[in-house]
Amino acid sequence: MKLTRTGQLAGLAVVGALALTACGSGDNTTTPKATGTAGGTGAATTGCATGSLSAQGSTFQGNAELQWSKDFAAKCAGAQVAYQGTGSGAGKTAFGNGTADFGGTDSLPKDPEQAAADTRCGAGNKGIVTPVVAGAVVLTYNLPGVDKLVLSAKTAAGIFQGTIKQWDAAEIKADNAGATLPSIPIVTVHRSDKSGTTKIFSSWVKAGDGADWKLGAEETLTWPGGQSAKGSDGVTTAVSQSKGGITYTELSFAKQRNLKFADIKNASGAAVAASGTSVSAALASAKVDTSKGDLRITPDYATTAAAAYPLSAPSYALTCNKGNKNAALLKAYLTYVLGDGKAVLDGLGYAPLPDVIATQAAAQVATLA
Amino acid sequence: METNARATGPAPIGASRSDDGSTGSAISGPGRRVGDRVFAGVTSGAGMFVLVIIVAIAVFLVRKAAPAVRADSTNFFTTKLWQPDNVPPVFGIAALVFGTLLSSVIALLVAGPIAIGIALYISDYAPRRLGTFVGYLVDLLAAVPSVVYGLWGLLFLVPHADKFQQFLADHVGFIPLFDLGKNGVVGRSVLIASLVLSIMILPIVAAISREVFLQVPAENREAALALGATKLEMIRLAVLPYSRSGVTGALMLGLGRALGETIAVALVLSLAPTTSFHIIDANIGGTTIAANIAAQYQAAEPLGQQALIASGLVLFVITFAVNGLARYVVSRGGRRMASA
Amino acid sequence: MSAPTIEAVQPALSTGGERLTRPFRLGILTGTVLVSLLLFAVTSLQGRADFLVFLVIAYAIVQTVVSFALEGRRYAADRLLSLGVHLSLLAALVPLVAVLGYTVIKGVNKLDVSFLTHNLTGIGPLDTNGGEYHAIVGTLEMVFMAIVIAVPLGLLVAVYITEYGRGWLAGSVRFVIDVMTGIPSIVAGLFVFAFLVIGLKQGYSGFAAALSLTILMLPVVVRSSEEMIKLVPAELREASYALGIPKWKTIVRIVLPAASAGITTGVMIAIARVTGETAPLLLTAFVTPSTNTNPFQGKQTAIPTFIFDQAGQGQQITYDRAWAAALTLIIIVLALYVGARLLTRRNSLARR
Repeated sequence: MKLTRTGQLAGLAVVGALALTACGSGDNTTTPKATGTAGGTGAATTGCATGSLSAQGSTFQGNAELQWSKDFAAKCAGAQVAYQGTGSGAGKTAFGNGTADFGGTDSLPKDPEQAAADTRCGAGNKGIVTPVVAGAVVLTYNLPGVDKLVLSAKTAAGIFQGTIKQWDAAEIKADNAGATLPSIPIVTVHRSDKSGTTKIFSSWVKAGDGADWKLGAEETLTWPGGQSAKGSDGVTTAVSQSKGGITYTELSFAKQRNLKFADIKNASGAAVAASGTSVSAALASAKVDTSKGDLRITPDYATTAAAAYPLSAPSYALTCNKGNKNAALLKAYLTYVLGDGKAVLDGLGYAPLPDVIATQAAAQVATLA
Repeated sequence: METNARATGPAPIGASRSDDGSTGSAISGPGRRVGDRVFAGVTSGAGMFVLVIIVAIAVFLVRKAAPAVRADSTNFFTTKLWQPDNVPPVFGIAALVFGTLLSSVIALLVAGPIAIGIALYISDYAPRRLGTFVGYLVDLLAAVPSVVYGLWGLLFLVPHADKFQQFLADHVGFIPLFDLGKNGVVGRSVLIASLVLSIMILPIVAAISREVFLQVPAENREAALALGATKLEMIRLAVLPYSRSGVTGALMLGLGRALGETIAVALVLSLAPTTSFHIIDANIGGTTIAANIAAQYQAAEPLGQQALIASGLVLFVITFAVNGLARYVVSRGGRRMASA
Repeated sequence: MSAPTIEAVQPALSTGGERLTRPFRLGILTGTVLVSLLLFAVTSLQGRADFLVFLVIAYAIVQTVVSFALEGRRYAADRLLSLGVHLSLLAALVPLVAVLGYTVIKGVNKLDVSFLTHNLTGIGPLDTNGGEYHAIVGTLEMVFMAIVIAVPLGLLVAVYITEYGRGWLAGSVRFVIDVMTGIPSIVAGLFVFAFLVIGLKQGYSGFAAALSLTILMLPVVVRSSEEMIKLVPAELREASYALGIPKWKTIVRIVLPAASAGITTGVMIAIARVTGETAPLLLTAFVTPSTNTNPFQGKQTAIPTFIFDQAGQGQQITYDRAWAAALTLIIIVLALYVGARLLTRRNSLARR
């Protein structure tokens, strides 16, 4: 019968296609530099382990994670870390419900998130956070012809609350003496997902402008208007597509897309550009809380240090203290991140953690199991 | 189906009665055989399996959704915010349903007339071969996956939309839909999302309308033309009366498709729950139930997930009602046509 | 519906008839173009798109006015409808050409052998290589599993409904299938996510994705198979029964083969539809940069989710990857559609 033959042919095609795809993994081999002797993990390069980890969370640290996992795979044969930038809220939730082997987050777990993480880690264990990288949250804008912009926390509060509607408003002019600003409407862009970056940004505005900022300091806010988009990549895309747009995002994303970003007027009154040094200067005065058995950092968003870029924060990896899946690989990876991994940060627009914190973080990673 | 091979032997079973309700055989000669029983059992088993699974899914979803609605600190049906993981939880579907309906209805308003125009072109204007060819082309539009429309919307339509929207604001801004106030325009607007949706539902409406128009008996058309009617009059007198219900059904099926579309909207639209009619205002987003689920499911904590399921059920009820109504209208029309 | 009476069209015979011949209309068009050009040259009107819109509106007005004056209201209205119908043809073909054309132009640069045979492992944020190999594997496995589940099950259900189903049970099954056709794809994905991925702690997997696709595919398979089985002429069955062939054998050997071309068409369209689904896959299989050949464990990328993920990352290189993958997806889906069309042509039942 003719038609059955068609069916057979179709079946053959499917099987053939499957067979075709079954050969090889398609990995992009970046030839490991003579590591790991064949046939055994015993003799592997120091600081290596094999297997795969699947992680997701904060888009803030996303670019760094992508670079690290690439370099780590090149260093250690048979080790694979896949990080998907989905937002801090998603990172914590995914770690809690077991769909991620570790989570990335810029905001510390709230009670229910901590409880979910503890449950996931098994009886007697708990979820802990380890800072892995620091970075600046910048205010990127899309204003043709305006290459330099200075904003204070108070002005930013007005812009994002919708009380300042035009780019040539008096408040913005006051921050930018002598600059010519176009008379076009401001389009604010904010995160639609639960975002640690939103929390960092709103904490900074609140610290600098406590009285007028009515939206609170949380991972999700009730915005009075403006555009919203998912993830750091989403908001930067939205700004680059919207004339008159402004958003808050990790420096790395602004750099990557060649977007302009504003200098921030800190509590000392100085206008500071985001950079590795200014971030480190800001985090020097951060407080570290070790009472929960891990490292929880509270940045001083109202720092009066003249060289400090106040909108700076660390980003964390959320793991179990004990009972991690493939603990050996996780440990090796995070050790790499806090050690050799620092080298890539500057080029990507991140800042290394202050030495004090980095040492403590490395010590904490060493205890993971 | 070869599994039934073992039952081929002619094993007459006590003939007349059996519970599987199979009475189809025109003859009673060979009587019932094991094979028949097994096959009837397997097929009705499959039917029941699907039935049970779907009922189980429904029960599961309702049981998941109910606690969230109860835990909501505000009215689930009138609240505009969506913050189920706050303490206390504040969320409601008002803005989501509004956004879903608004974008879908605009899409339908844009796509409907064009789709009907195309269908008329194929049935009454184009030479037969050309009409068939155009029909294929329109079907091609239906074959393009929604993520491709989303990508195209994001990277082609959105960057090119500013001028068009500014034009609308400048010239027809007195209509509340295009009112900007003091705000700017951006490409990621409800209007642009609706335009992407309209391209997606166009082929559905066009294909069904075309079928309906083609089913109008040729005698009706010829009678009208013989009386000296123009094409417009012929369509109004001979075609539309017979196809009104079919076209209505087609429009509603298109609406149903637009209501449930996720990815294209999630890619193009600025996702913010509001109940504003200002569809090109940069300061006012809009969101739909489906896009909200796609954007929120990952970060949602247990209560947030249940809340999303509740919203999914609402979406399902809406699409079910629209599709059901469409089917009803079409079947009613079909019956009338048959009796006409 | 009040049936239109013959009197309503009677006046048609008494008016002058068509006077606006083709050369006449061409003249109007040329005139409108020239005047529009002039207006755009001397006034503040400008822009190519604006010109086209202006031209169309101007032509519609001029033609209507002229036709009204020469031929009367009826012909003017008729010409307006004709113009509208042709414009809607244009309005539908423009997006088709724009979407397909843009995808081809944008996608063809990146779509090469390397793109098809590499995944995204070890691709840093600044790298420009990497491909969709893992996504192709994922799509094939997920869709294959969905076919394996949905097609036999759908066929059996269709046979049940058409051949065996009686009474409330068959009615309920039919109703449930109707209900299923209306399930938005995101809801199907959400169910599998809540039940399997999170609820039973199975995590993301290609299998979970296949289940959500099955929910979407099943009603399409059942509906199209049902239609096709119903089209099989009763004489075929009766002839078979008359030869003493049992009912089940009649169905398996006579009815289904006779309907098989139509059924295959329906199945292929169902496959094409689920191959392009994105939302449910995002919730059930998620995305991963590496190739995962085991559909039962771990995240798996499919082509649609690959596109969504790359488009979301918002850089030139990720856009390029998204376009190339979109082109692949369109090629696959269109091939399925065209295949289905060719089969329909050979389908003897549908032609009757």
